[in-house]
Amino acid sequence: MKMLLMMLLATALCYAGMAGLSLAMPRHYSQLNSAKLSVSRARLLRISSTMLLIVSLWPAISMWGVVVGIVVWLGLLSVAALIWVGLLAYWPRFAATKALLLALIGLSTCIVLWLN
Amino acid sequence: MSKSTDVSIEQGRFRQSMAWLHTWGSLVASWALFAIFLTGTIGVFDDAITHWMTPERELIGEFDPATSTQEQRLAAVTQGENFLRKAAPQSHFWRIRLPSEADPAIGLSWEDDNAEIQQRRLHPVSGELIPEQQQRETQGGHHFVHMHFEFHAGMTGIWLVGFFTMIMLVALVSGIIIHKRIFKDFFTFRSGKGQRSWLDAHNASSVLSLPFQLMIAYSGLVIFVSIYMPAGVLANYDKPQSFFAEVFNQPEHRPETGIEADVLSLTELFKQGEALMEKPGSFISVEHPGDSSAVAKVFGLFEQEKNTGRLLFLSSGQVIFDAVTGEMIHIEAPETFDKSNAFAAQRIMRTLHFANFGGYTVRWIYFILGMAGTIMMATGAILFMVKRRQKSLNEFGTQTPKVYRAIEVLNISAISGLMIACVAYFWVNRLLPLDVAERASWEIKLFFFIWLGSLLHAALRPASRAWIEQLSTFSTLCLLLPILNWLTTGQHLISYFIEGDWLNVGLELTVVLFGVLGVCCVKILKSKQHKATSRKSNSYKTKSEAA
Repeated sequence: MKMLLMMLLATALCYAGMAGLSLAMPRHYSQLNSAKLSVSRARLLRISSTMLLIVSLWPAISMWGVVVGIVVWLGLLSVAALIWVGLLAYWPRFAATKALLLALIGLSTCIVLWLN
Repeated sequence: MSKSTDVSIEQGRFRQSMAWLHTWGSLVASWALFAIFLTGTIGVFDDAITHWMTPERELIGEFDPATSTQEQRLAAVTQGENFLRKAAPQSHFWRIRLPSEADPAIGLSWEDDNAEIQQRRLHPVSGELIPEQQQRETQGGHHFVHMHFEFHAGMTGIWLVGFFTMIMLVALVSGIIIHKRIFKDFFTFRSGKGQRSWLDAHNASSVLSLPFQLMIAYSGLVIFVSIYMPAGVLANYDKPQSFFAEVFNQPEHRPETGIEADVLSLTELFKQGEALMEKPGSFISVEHPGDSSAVAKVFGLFEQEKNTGRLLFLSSGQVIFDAVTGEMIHIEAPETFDKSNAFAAQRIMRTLHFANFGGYTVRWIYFILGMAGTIMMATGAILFMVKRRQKSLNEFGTQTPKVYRAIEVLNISAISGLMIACVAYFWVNRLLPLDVAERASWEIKLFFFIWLGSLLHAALRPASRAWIEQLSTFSTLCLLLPILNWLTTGQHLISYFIEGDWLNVGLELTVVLFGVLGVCCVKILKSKQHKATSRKSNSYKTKSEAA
């Protein structure tokens, strides 16, 4: 059960991170917004997404240790990116809302787990 | 001319030659690689598939390897031993496997007079032979694994797979070189744009899963390194056995002496082995029983928990006895690794490739990324034709249409045909009567016949029709599999759900999901065709109106 929770957590954070990185590119940003992507917003997206990806390492490593944890994390990065690309192509708004929700849920779950 | 333009021309030429290599090299390999990838990806779940394909096994009875008593284990060895001494006294090789999680029966194997391995299963408590009519003799998920690494063709198959894997590495590297906007297009997939979409799908599936694809191809080669690169062994060792003895850090295989000698009680040796390893054993094997050189090996039970968080698996324990005198020849203590660093590196690659280091979570990650690889092969092969269907590139002069047609036919049967064969293998498992002789190999033969059938079908039908018909067949077989299972075995999704049989629930739901995806593909193809025909008739209309 804990394994499943940690895996979902890591996948959620990876997904949100990958989504953010792609939305920091003008082409994908314009798929969702009519306004142009400003330089500062792109930077903000990039930094916060990178943070999300770094945080997503934590559940993987805490579950499996450093060696296997990193391998699993690398795999999850690919899986998350593939899911994001698939959803973005067909349901862009749903994909982005989901990313935002998952980032919030993921981060708060991390904080709760950390404090306990 | 300035230096920089020189460089860019040079780069352009390099890219062009790489593009040629990527296109033609990959096309030839793509059909085989699709087969290697699809079966390998399905093979990730080989245990679950074997479990689904052997519904009768559950009925045998309880023998939990994790909580079994030594008395139970020794009784099982005695039963196996009695059977082997009677059935195969002159054999070259015996093996007794205790009931395991995967199979609750005692598993016996031995080499018969024709040097073929025979297998029988005994009831774990009564020790009686389980008649073949009562068991669904099958290779189960191993069929997919064997298809994956040797096409069921032994050493020839291993070499073929190695050859194609090398091409895959070449294709991956050349693909990276010719991809001009690998970062700009990183997340790009534009649907419904014809050729553009196929290229996007090919790029996205390969770029986003690239680390996995490189790892899986390379580690696949490293697993068979001693076969693919034999020169070092041949140059330095008199015989390969000495090399393996050194690598495994074990005494060399003892040649037969021809002097008859009785083998000691295997039950007694098994007991001693367990005492020396200080843990339960899982199987015992004997090399040339009846000869004075006989050697018995007792293996410890593999415990996954002991290797959690590790890529380099520790030994489960092994004791080697002289089976005639009972003298201990060698012991490999459990939870140690006493072999060389080079061997450790090879083992880690193997673990990475086999996906057996993190339970079902890791298996699912491998399944998804393996499917991404499969999509990469399929979209690549299809893209080749999509490009040329719009405008022939005339590579083969007057023969070009014929070559294109052959490629199209091979594409169809290699992709949708193999998909049908894979799901049909599950159908055959349920429909083939239990008392057919050589049942397991018939299942595999029928797999190949059905695949061959798809090639014939593709050759006889126009391409666009063939795609739709084969994908529809695939979807139907997928969607109806749970119903077939219910009709033939009386088991179904709900009963699995109630019993908590998650392996079978997962398997059937996954197959149904693929059926749904297949239906989506068929719908897209049909609407496209509809558009194409209506466009054609429209253009005819305008032409005739103009006339």
